[in-house]
Amino acid sequence: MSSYQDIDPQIIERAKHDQEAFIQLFQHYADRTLRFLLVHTRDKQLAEDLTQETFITVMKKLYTYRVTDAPFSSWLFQIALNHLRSYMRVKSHRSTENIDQLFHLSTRADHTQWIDFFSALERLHPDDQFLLTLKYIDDMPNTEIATTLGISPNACAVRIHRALNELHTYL
Amino acid sequence: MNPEDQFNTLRERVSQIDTTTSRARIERNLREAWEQHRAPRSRFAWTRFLVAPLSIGALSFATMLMTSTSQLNYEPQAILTTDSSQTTSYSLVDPTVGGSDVAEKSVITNNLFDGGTYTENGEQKSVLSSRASLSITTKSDLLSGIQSLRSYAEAHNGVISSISAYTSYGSFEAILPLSELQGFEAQLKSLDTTHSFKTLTYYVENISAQVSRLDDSLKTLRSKLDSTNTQLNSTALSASERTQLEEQKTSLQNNIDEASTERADIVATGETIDLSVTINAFQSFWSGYYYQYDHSTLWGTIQYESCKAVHTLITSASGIITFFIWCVVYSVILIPLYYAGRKVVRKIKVGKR
Repeated sequence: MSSYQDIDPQIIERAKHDQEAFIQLFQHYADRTLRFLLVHTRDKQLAEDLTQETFITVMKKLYTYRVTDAPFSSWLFQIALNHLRSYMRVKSHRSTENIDQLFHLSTRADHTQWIDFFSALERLHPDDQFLLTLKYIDDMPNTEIATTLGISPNACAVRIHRALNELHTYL
Repeated sequence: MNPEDQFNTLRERVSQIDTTTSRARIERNLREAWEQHRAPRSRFAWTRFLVAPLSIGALSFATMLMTSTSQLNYEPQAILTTDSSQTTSYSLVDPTVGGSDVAEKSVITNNLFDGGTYTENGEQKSVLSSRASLSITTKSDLLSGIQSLRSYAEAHNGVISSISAYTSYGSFEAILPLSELQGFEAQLKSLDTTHSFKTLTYYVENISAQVSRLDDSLKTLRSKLDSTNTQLNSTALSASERTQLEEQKTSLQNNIDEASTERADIVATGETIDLSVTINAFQSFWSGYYYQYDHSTLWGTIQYESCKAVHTLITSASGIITFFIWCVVYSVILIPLYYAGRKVVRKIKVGKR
């Protein structure tokens, strides 16, 4: 189960026309979005910019959102992924210069280990990278990941398994 | 190390990252963006893009209407009297402005005694020339209606002057004995399936002066004839003079005959009426001919007002459609210009920041 609670649908409805409700919505999802993007970009400023872009898009398009069985976070992460994809199209290789400071790495061995890990992760297909980060960093359940990426839950489970195996071979 | 363990470690590390500053910065920027992007939050946000083209479209439409006002002002008129000094015209389109319902009740006459009188057998008499325009609307076939009119006129000893038929109306003109008018009208009303019989005009003119003038002329001619006869009876005339007088007598006699015939015709005119009947084909409710309904009755008023409302609606709708066509035409030019302009403005704003 996800460690995160989805937001009250009434707040989403209010956020369509009320600034404070929208800020409440932002506060609810800001950490998740920011941390998810941080893992992919490894750049705090860039992650911050992408998070801001994501929420500006949410602000503009929130009137189109209809409350369904799927959690709001699926819709939000779809937007975040679109911004991330756009960024990755421009810059396929991400910097690893800041990982020591960013992820509080203290030893040289630790540094090498994480460089290898991020290099291996980058070798995966972008969608597989998203699958694994949503699964293990955001702790999102498979059904929600499947909704976010537009695939079936079974396919999601299979792809996570394969992506992990592939990552394992690269390490 | 197992990738799953590495992910778990990474999650722990990531969760330790302090995001307070970033969140505060993003929140501040989002509040600013909220103010800027307030408008697009509506489902109908796209409508704001139509404001400029619609405004220009509306202005163009108004200009178009103003320039064509002179053409729109035309309205067919019915002239109810031939006397130019007393000419009164009513609209045939809308009876409420003083048209056929007024004409129906009014009998338009000149001062009948202005024309004077003439003397016949020691009695003062007058001759009145009558003309009338009648109108009916029929739901039956127009041509068969006109054929019926023809047979009615002939049955009432009428003389047909002209018959014409068009798509939506027909015209029938005849001269009828005045005494037969009522009988003819009764038969005419049998054709009037919509109860829309109307006497558009009824015109009476005193033409006694013409008879009086002819009487004077006849008197003069007869006295000349008597004088010629007296001269012919004289024995002291040469052959050539007699021939000349005979010719003069023949000429005078011819003139007297002509004047007498003319007088008889004029006097006979007083016993006939020039009748003009317009027979209209009934138009459907949706075609907007609301003036064909008799709004002197309750049901007629309901039909009249309903039809008028529908007609107005159709006219307005056509105006609105025309308006939108103009808007579309202008939008084709304006919307790309609007977007280009907006892009430039945004670039300038970004540059200033």
